[in-house]
Amino acid sequence: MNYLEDLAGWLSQEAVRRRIGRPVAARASFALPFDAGDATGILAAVAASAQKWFDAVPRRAYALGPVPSGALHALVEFATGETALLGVEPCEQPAVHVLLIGNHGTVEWTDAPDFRPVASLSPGPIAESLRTGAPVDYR
Amino acid sequence: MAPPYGVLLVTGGNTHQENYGLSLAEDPRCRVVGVTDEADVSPRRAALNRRLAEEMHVPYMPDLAEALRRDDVAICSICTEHDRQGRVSIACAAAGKHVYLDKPLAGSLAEADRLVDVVRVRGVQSQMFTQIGFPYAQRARAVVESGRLGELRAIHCDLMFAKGWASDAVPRRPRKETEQPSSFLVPDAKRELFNIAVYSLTLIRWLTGREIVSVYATTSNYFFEENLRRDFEDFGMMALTLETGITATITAGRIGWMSHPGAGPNVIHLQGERGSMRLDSYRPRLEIQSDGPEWRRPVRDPEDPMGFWRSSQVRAGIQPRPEWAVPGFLPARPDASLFVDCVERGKPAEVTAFDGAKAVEALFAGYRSAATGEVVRLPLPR
Repeated sequence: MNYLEDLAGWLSQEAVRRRIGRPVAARASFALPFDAGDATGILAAVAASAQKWFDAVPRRAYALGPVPSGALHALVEFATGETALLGVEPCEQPAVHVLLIGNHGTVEWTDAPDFRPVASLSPGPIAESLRTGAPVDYR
Repeated sequence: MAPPYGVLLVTGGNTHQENYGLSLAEDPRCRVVGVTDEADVSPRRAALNRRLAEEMHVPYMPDLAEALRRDDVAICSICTEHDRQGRVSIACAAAGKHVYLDKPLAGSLAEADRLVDVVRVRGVQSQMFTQIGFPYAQRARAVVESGRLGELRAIHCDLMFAKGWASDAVPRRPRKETEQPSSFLVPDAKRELFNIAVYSLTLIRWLTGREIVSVYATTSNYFFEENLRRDFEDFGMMALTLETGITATITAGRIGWMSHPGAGPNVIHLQGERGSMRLDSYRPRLEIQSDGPEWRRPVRDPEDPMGFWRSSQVRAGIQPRPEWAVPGFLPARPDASLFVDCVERGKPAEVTAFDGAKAVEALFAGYRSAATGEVVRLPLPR
């Protein structure tokens, strides 16, 4: 298991769901050591992890950036209405913040993991959105 | 013009006038002359206006036009429902009164533009209520101005209010948005992108000094049956680009009484060319665990079911949640007193009607984007 898979497991465990209800939205920021050139693939990997937080299928992504530091953000919408604002930033001092909002509460994850993320091989709509400057549907 | 300044409170109970009016009444440079409103308001609104007038021991003047003819009024504090707020604010500024405006300052872009024109032509001071005077915003400004992050490249704001009674009856599906909403506030619901993202939009312009050039947004119904019934969103997200390529994102919404140990998440994440910084309005904080009494959400008030207003919070005896104690969470001086400074010194406020109108434009771009699924460029066509 890698860190993102573990995180998805922790956030979607039954004990969390019982407290926060149905996850509906998320804000997540991943400042981690990676090469700025991998940012799109890393963000796609985070978006893939977010699918598991909601147990939902992504519908559309709109990506912003990169800013000169290599930071990238995406607003990802899911087929059943959930939304997530996800960000990645290359950084030597890791810092992960996830706020998962349920319809009856929130769960917050804060960490400074010793983790070097691996870029997704299929950055798909996020890469295409960055290229076109428009929201792109998942196929 | 020298104090004391006569203050007219335009629209009364069950609005933020309950806060602004109190702040202005406590300012030694001000004297509240009365509460007023348009002559044809509903009986419910008139009763709420009278209630605030009675609580503040000032007269209720039931005809705004007549009240504006008084020469002992220098300042109007305007908290009218948004579908009337533009029209009413324009009338106040046109009468030569300085205008202190609830946010957002108008329910249409045309009225926001007209208000900016009237304020300029009449040479009156204007200020829209924001959170820029709050310590978290001031800290963000100090970080940006210090230059330690280098030039600011991106800014991300989360602001959510932990109020309201969440329901399981809200269906799991994307919301269908209206391209040009015209109603924003009813007794049991607010359009929450409009109501809350306005703070972040003004903060982002204030911190960057840059104009917003594109908006992509989503609106959602996640929590409240009341919002669903009114076809008002209770949550929204925005992704913005600003001049010089700065990017920004916003989450905004009302997320339920029990969702947060404070008043709701409130975070700014600044990314500069040399580094980044996350500012949480609840840090530093004391985290307290004890076997003392648990915090309980208030009983639902039939007059204010979502707990929007100060009066219902007072009636319910709501106390701050006990788990977190945050020193210096609130501003040292109320926003309304900062406006009185501007009137006294004859200098423009930091968030004027012009800035408020820019936020309104971005909000309407957001609704258009959420309705069409497209990125909307600013300025919007007039």
